[in-house]
Amino acid sequence: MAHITDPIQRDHEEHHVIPPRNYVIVFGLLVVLTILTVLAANFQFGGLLNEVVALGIATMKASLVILFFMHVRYSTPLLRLVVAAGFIFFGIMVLFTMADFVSRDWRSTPPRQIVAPVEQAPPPVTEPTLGPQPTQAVGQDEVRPRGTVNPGR
Amino acid sequence: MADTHAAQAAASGTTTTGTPTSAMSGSDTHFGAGYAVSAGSTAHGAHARAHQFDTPQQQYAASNLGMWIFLATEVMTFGGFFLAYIVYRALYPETFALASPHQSATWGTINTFALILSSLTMALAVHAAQTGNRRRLTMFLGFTIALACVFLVVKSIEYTTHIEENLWIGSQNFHMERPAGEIVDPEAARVDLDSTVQQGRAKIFFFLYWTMTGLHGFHVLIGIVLLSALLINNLRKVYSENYYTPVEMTGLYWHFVDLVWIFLFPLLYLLGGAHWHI
Repeated sequence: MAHITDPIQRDHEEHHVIPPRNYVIVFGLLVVLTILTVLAANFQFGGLLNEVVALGIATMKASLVILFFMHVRYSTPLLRLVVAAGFIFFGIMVLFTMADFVSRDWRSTPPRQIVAPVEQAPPPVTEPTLGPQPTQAVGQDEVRPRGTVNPGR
Repeated sequence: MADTHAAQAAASGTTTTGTPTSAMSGSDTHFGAGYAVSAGSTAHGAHARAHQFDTPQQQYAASNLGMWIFLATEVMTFGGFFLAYIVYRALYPETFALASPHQSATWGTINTFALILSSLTMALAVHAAQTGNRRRLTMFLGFTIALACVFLVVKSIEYTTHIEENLWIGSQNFHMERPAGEIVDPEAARVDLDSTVQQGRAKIFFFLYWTMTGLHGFHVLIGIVLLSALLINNLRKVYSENYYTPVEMTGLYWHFVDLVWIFLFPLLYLLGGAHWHI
């Protein structure tokens, strides 16, 4: 697509007037890619290939929109850095989350517990004594199960 | 030369006052030239440039940069939902494969074409603004708004169908039926969909479906408001070939809305097979 290529002026941010014909070409490519992704949906490629194909085509379409419709192809290095940073940080978010996800091996753990786990038996209630109480751990009141008697009171 | 310097300074994030002292004489020349340009271009109308900018190019660079930083935050806003989708699809692939066929590939494809065509008309609207053609700008803004309305009408038809099929996540009667037609995923074909666990997983898919398309639809709605404001301003002859930055920035926003849909369409409609129903 040499006819779209403009000399990129690195030191001068200007409005780049792109001939409408180029927009129509990009639109045509987007239509072709949309038809491709719809056609690919009813094939079973196996494994994760369906996802890879669908997202690969979507990424191609997105690149066309960003580069030509959004004029990033003709913008300054600073702007390209900002554009790239937006998507790279999204990539980092996905990458790190999925690195954690795959290393946990969720699916080979025993079947999910649908019933809530049995609660632990409440600590035995001690009879209040007259003598000085043994010092209890700070914050014990908060974790005391409902319905048990506070031996201190 | 001075204009170039100013644009470069704006683009690289430094101020001209921060340049080394050896460039002081050049800096003086720059400010002189800057004021000269400022005085000379007022004939193009009061909107042409805010007073804090030396040149229209510098103002455009600042607007463009600011808009893209906003769009980067938008990437992260939608990104959270995309990440949730990735994680839950990885956990429950067979349930998700049974859920996507509930989306009509017919309506989805129509809406995809509506949005990429509206992106084309928006790009042509920006071109019309750049060449100062007000009639073409009005026409293409009108096309873009019309296509955005088509998108929302189709989306509301889909939403109505989903509510009728008990697929609204807030409903007490939420229940995902086995989709009609062939199930391409052999794993999914064996799933007992009526179990509580499977219905819960289906609800996760539809939570993502309603939230992602809802947030996207809300963006389309805002786009219609912005485009209508541009249309009204254009009819009042606000824009010319010397001043059309709002048209260009709204264009960026509109293309971004298209961008989100480009990913939503395969993820929510197509994975699990394209099912053509209305």
